[in-house]
Amino acid sequence: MNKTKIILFLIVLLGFLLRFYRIGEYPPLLWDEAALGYNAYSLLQTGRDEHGAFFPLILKSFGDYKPAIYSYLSIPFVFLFGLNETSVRLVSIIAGCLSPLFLYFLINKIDSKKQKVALLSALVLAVTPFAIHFSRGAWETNLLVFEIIVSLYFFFSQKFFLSAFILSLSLYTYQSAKMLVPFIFLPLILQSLKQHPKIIFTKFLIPILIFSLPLLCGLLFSQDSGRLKVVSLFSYPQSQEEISVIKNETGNFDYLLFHNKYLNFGRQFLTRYFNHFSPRFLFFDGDWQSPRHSAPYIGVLLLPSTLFLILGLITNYRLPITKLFLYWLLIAPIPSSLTRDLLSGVRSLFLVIPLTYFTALGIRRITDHRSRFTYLVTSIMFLVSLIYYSDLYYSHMVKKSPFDFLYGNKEVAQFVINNQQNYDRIYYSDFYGQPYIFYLFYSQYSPKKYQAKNHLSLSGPDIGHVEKIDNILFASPDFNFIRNQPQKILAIFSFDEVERQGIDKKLLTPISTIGNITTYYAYSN
Amino acid sequence: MAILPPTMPTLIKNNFWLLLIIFLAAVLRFYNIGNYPTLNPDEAALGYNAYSLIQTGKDEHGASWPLHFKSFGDFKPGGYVYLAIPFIATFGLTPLAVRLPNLLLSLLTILYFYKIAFLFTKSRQISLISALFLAINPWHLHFSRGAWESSSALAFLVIGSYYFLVRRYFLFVLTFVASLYLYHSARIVAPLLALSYLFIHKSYFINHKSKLIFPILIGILLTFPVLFSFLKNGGTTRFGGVGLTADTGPLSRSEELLNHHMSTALPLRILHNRRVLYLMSWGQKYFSHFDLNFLFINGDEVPRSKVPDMGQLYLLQLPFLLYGIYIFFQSKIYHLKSKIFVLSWLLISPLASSFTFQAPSALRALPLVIPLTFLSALGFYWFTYHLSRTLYLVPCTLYLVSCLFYLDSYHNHYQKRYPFAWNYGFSQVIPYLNSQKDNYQNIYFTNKYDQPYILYLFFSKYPPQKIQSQIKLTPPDKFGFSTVSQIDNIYFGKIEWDKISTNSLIISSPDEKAPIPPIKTIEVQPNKAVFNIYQK
Repeated sequence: MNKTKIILFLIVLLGFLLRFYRIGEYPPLLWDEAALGYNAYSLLQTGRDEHGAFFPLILKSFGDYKPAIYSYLSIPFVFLFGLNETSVRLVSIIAGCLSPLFLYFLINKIDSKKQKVALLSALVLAVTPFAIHFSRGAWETNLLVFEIIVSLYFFFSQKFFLSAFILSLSLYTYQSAKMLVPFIFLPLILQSLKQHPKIIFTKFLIPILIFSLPLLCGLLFSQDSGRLKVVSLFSYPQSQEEISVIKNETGNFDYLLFHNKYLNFGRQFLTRYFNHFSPRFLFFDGDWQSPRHSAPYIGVLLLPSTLFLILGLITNYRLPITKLFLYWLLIAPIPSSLTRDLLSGVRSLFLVIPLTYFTALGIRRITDHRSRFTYLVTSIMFLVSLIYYSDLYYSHMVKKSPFDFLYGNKEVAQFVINNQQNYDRIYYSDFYGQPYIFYLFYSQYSPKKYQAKNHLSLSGPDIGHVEKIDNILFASPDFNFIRNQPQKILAIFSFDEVERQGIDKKLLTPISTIGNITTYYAYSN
Repeated sequence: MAILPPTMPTLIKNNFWLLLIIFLAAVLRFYNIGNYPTLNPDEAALGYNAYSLIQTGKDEHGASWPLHFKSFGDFKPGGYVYLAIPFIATFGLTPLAVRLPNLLLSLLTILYFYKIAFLFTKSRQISLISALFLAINPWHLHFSRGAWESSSALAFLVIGSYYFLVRRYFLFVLTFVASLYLYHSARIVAPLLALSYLFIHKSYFINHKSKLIFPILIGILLTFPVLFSFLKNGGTTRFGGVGLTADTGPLSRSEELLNHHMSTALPLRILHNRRVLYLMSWGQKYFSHFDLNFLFINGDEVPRSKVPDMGQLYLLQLPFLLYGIYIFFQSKIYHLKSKIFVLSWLLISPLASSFTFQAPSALRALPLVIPLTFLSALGFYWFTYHLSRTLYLVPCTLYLVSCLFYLDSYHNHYQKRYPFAWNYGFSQVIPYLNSQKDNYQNIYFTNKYDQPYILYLFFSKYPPQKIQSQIKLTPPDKFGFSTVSQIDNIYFGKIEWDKISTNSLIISSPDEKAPIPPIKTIEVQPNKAVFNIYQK
């Protein structure tokens, strides 16, 4: 027993080190992280978010209405360590390194004969790139997965009220939880209802209902449905051209029979669903739709998992625990597949849990009754693969797509803060979106002051922008206009604007250079 | 008492369902096969070379009885041309005659597939379902309908495997060697399959060494000619054109990654070595054949290898396939040897394709259809085992609907959506061209659709002696293909209006803009032309 505890401690420690290493500087802070952090700071100081809402459940933020739990959980860290990258990310890091621990508890609770598989699962989860990537940033989805595991664990420990509480919390953590969580719990609830319906009702279902009342009200009188509409797959039907191609080839009857809009949505959904199980996503390319969601030229699992995953999947499905994980494997990508993106690593993160379980099952299968040598070879394979991944993650990910990772906003914000006094006006390019939040974050701008004059103007169904704070204008600077102005002006140009306006780079000061690309330049007239 | 061979009526009675399935397969494969899909240049080349051999004993380039046909400079394995000779000698140079050998072999594939399934499962029902599933399988149907060497090679592999399993080693060796003469990919797949068979049955062969020696010797002896011919005709350069290294992606990726480090220290050069990246690229290609979107939703990317809006298999097969895999590999009913056999087919089939620049490839990985169909059939059988008769109708109806969807897509949408994939319109335009040939000084024919010259030779039944004396291949393109740019007064190439003299007939594609209105058009459907014909 004691040995198990030591191993678990080592796994958590390993998970922590992998997640904490260089976290303050790498990868660069994204908008959403800065927003969650600044709102935590604002809540800490004033009890209101950046828009002046009093203890909100949903943060308006850029007009995309973020669930607020992550911000609330960050408050103690922001209080302790100040407003910086590490304090914003700590919630996610802690969730990420405790997930393996609770996965161990969970598997052990469901089937106590599976202790070794549980340990292996914890280890695999601690070193899986998919999990590491989203633990190294303030990703709400990572917190969600942690909450689901904990909630499941309490459910299987018969602590239904606690389970219900955390489950309800998860609904306020991340949008796709509203669809995913009911799916995950459905078979468990159905089964327990047969065994002890009364307890389930009073201690689980009714508490959930009460806890989620605000959410239900929100859904009914909703502000955030615009967002749902933008991302939903059903907002993007077949184009008229596609329809007319089919109709011209055969006719209306054939179209209605075999190519109608429902079948088309079915096809679109399945394409997305299958993408989440494609070898390309899992092993070779990661999330090819968005470079921000994975390291380049490598999948979201370690390469040796190919073998172990297949071995693990061909197993005895009469065991209830295996059935359950198979069910989770099949439903995990559903919410993600109902959105317009062909593939989304961030929305399908829960997939990592069943994948981990089956990988562990495969490892167990091959190392069972075999010599230490097999263990050694397996470990070396995983270690080499982890090193290969780490190199891609640390040395290549941001260098390959600096624009996707918003590289340079920290440097620019600090440059602007240092020089703010010397200029009448400052232009800060909004070409890559939401520069104001970086300025607020890095200047630790007084929330009280900001709330008083905050003016976010909506420019689309789900995204708005801030035009001005004090003497800083967040807009695309026009080089020829600024050049001839009598006032003293500082302008921050993005790489793309420099290229498009054909500005002579000799007149500009590069601010953020990575590899042979500079993402931002400064110009002073 | 002598055992009499069964008489014809009892044979039919005993195998009624199997014969019915093969009849169904034949109907699906033969229906409208002379016209649909229209003949493509590879088929035309196989047919015309057979025609040329019959008439002159030489191929279009004047080589006598070669094992590899130079054709477009791609040195096609010659087996199919020889298979086509009797049919072309009998029926003349027509699309049907060129396609007949493969059509018949595809029916044999189904027959022998049934026999193998029976050996493995000892269940007549599972074997019948297997045969039925292969008969209506989109992947197999697609490559049965046409002179596809890949499909013919598969037939020999399946037949050979059966004879191996029933210990007729001599026939096994003959058929496996035959597949080497038919198709490039078989040269990787067949030897590896043979090795895996030897491995599966190694305990038997250790005790019966003598049974092996003679067939192996024969096999090696018969392989020599094709091996020498392959090496002599620059088979390796052909591989350079389509092989894994023809894709320069990994090479530039290696440079990019090294640039990120801004250092060329030894450990980094090892980590980002191009061989490492080529290995990853290979892995991605290999596993892409098991991508569910390839198999069930979108299919191959090459229009000639797919129909619109379909995967390689019916989506309906997926649950049965998964269930079949689970049952077959998990349960103890099935012999370990048969499990390894099916697994070898699964793992070896995509190998040849994974070494080329373009993957997944339905054409090169065609053998994959065999294990996938077998496992789906097995899954279907066990899945429906406990269903009542009425419930049984549900999956059957769904299967029927899927089948209709496929046939609709194949016969009604396919050619109209991708007319270029099968060179639609040549069978109409070439007789017209032939009738006008002597009325004009020069004829210019577009090269928008690949290899127009061979379709001209085929459809005009051009005398082989005349082409052998004047044929001249252009320098190869980056994939290693050449073409012919002139036959008599016909010029095949890009239409350049300024250089065309008067008294010319011009046959161009709609993509090439013309300064004058056409005198005639050839359309695949109203207002969708594939050829515009002009006069200058």
